[in-house]
Amino acid sequence: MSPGTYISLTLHAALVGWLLFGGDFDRKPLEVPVTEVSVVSAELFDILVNNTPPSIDTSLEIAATQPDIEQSEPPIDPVMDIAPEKTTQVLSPNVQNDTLPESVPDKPVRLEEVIIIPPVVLAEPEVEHPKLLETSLAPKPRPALRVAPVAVAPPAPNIDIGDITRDAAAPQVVSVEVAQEQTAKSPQAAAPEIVTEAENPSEVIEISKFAPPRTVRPQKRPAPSPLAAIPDKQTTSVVAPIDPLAVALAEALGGADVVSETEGNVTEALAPQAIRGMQLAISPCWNLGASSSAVLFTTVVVGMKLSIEGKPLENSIYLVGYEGGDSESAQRAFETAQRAIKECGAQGFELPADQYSAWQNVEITFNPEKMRVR
Amino acid sequence: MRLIYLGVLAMAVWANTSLAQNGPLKIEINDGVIEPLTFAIPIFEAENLEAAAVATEISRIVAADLISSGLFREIPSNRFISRRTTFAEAVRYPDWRAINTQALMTAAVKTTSSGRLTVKFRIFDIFSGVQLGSGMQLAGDTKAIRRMAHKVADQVYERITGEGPYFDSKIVFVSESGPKDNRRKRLAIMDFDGESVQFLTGNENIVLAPRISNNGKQVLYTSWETGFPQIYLLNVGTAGRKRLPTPKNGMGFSPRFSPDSKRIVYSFERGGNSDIYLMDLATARSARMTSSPSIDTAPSFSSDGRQIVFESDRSGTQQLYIMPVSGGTPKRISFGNGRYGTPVWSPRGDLIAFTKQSNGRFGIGVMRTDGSEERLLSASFLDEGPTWSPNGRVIMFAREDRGPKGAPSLYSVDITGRNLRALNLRAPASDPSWGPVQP
Amino acid sequence: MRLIYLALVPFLALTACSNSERDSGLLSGTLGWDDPAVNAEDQNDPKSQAFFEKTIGDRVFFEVDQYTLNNSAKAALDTQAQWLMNNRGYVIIVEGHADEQGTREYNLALGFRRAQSVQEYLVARGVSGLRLKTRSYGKERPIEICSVERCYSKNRRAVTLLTAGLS
Repeated sequence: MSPGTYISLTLHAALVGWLLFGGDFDRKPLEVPVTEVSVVSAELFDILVNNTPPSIDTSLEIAATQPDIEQSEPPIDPVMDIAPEKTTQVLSPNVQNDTLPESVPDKPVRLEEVIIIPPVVLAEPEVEHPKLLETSLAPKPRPALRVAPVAVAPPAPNIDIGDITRDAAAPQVVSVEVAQEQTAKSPQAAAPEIVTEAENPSEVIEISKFAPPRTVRPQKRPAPSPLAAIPDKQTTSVVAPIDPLAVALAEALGGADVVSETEGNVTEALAPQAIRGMQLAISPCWNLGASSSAVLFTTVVVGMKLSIEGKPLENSIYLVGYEGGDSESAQRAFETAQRAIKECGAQGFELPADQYSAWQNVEITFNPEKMRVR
Repeated sequence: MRLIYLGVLAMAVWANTSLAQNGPLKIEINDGVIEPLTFAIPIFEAENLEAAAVATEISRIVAADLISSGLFREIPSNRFISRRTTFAEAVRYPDWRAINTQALMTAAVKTTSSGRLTVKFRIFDIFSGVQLGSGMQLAGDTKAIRRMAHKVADQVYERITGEGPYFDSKIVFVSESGPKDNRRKRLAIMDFDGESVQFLTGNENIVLAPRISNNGKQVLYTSWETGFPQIYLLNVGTAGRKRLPTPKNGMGFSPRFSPDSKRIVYSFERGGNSDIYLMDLATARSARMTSSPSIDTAPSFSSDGRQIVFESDRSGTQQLYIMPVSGGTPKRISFGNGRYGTPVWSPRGDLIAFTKQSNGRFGIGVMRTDGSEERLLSASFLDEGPTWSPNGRVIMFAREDRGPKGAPSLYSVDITGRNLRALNLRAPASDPSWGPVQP
Repeated sequence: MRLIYLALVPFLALTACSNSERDSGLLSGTLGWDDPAVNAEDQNDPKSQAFFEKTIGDRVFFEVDQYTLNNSAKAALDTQAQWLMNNRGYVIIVEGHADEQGTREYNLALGFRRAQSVQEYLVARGVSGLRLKTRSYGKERPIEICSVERCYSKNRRAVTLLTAGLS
């Protein structure tokens, strides 16, 4: 055996011995990462090598309340740049309707300026034509009356288009349940079990395709019977929130104690049924289904003038005031109120003509508090 | 109760009142209905011959967007009485009232040989007999048909509902394939409606829980690319990615951006224990935020960037906790029956969405940031991982079926709990993260 | 001297072997512990990885949401530790897994806890901590795919994985 072989042998033996047992005695494993790597799988090798440069030393245990103290070694280009994987080029197997493939996400097609077209173009025909059409060719639009104006009056037979379209098909029954259950679940102490929704996707799509669930509310349109019991409470609670206005007006008019009298007069003068009837007439048309959450927190007071037939006069509907939202949501809330008044008031509200002065001017407070989903 | 009175209008009342002998009759309406608004969207008019196909396509996309919100119901065109509704023509309100249309949209599309596309449109409140807002016009590239349509739909939605836009937005998610015990996962990005899917990574490594930044340009996610879970930052434009340097001797996962996209919060495991860490992306320095022997994970910044919400089982079960980003003691906010995880702060700041487990079922819910007014919006065998639409009105999440063939798919639901619908995707998908409305 | 020489030959051969394995791993970019060459080893060889997996047992199971080791898990780990002490060439990765009943990130954290429990136990039984690494897959890698407890109980596991090394 040549001396060379001996040397080689000794060195190899030393190396192998070290490799085998050195690790177990070494207290600073990462100090000589290269050697450790040689015993280690490719992945660990990768991990070790990759981990070392970017790693940030953190003896962080103290920092619980002072996270802003930085705890790292100087970031020597802390981040490894990895080229996009070869497989990463953007594939779009799912493009369907697009005849023209959309560009890569980083180059978004830029939409330009949003130009506001001055409404001039339409402003004029918009005002004129409808009249023209209504008087000349148009048979009167079929009444969209949804509810008997006075509670006592029996509801008209179901011939109205409006009714037909609104009472949509079966899916809604399902959704009503859903809505109910959810409201029941809502209290903070919360649901012991989760049973809120349809699990079946096809059912779900069914619902959403046609219409989202409607609330329970339309269905609890009160029957005439309880009316007699309610009216007092009803009218007072109705008037209460608007008091400040009454006060302000009364003061403006110079008669301080007219306030209660005025109200007294109104309520005395007008049968509670008439007021109730008007509420019942408007409610089903007051639709907050397409309103923002902010609108659902905005109460608006809307004023209008009625003709002797009980119809809202053209251009007489205006926003008196609002509460709970900003002017933007007040505007949206006003739009829903105006829609309700015009849609359900088209045929005129049922009000006693001999008391016209009592209801010639109306102020309606639209309070969505009960409409919010809780 | 303090009403804000509009001065001029108050005068009008005064005038009215003085005319009439009595004050105005006062009525309160506190009952109404919640129904989708009936909406007629006739095919857009094409102003030139070439625009005809585009006009049809755009109007269908606009209609689909609006209907998908659940806030509108489309009046089928075969019921229209006004057959010809050109853009310039005045609206015949009676025709639309007769078929119970509450809102109408008219629009016209024009293309130019230079590849320009313009869409102008108006919205009408049929029963009030008024135009809602001003007419508008949008211009863009003819290649951007879908985006154009989403932008138009956003404008209409915003004008009618008062809610912010969300249709023209992207969603990053995990696209899945393969059997349940060997699932392949890759990052992908798509339009909010599931169209235009593009992949951002290959499927060689497990990836999960991507989070898109508020500017829509970057995605954080967790990948096993090295064999071990690590946090990566991906550039949406180039699909290039970097591994973020987390502290030594442990593994980072579950990252999420701050609202300004300059910092991230993430979960860091060391010695079996997971805590919440905060990293400044510019300096790549991390700081520890929680220090408890419990599992602290799934952190999310508040919309103002001052607080985080995360889940912890320090009480014994998974519950939600809030703490200031500047440090402090976490405060528990969830107290219902069951377990709460994956909290996500609404972009509006008012609500926190979460995954709730109770009695072996999973549901997506929302609560106010103090934990009150908890509501569940969905429930199934496995619903998980909510993400908010940029306007804070819609929540998307993943729902997985039970059993060996079970695979996840994406669902969305209105925050009222209505309008639960499945997204129409061709492959299983999970972990959605909803990006911003595009500029 | 001749004896020593002969005794060292296998060591040298193995060193070369592990080096070439590393190289091929680097080139192909595959995960070394899935290397078919390793799986093809004779499981009757009591020093082989296959023997460890099949005969010694490479996994322990956990109760729902738990990461503490029950008695049968401890017994299994005692056997594992014994074997690992006698076969010091392997580098060990302990993988923690969870069943599908839980949110993704929580399960990932739970998997870490389980892996850590096993690691700590093995170390307490004398296996060098320097040979051990942990990782978690959360609920991403189930081995059973039904949605009932029979499968869940198999998925709540920690697997002791041997990676290429000396035997």
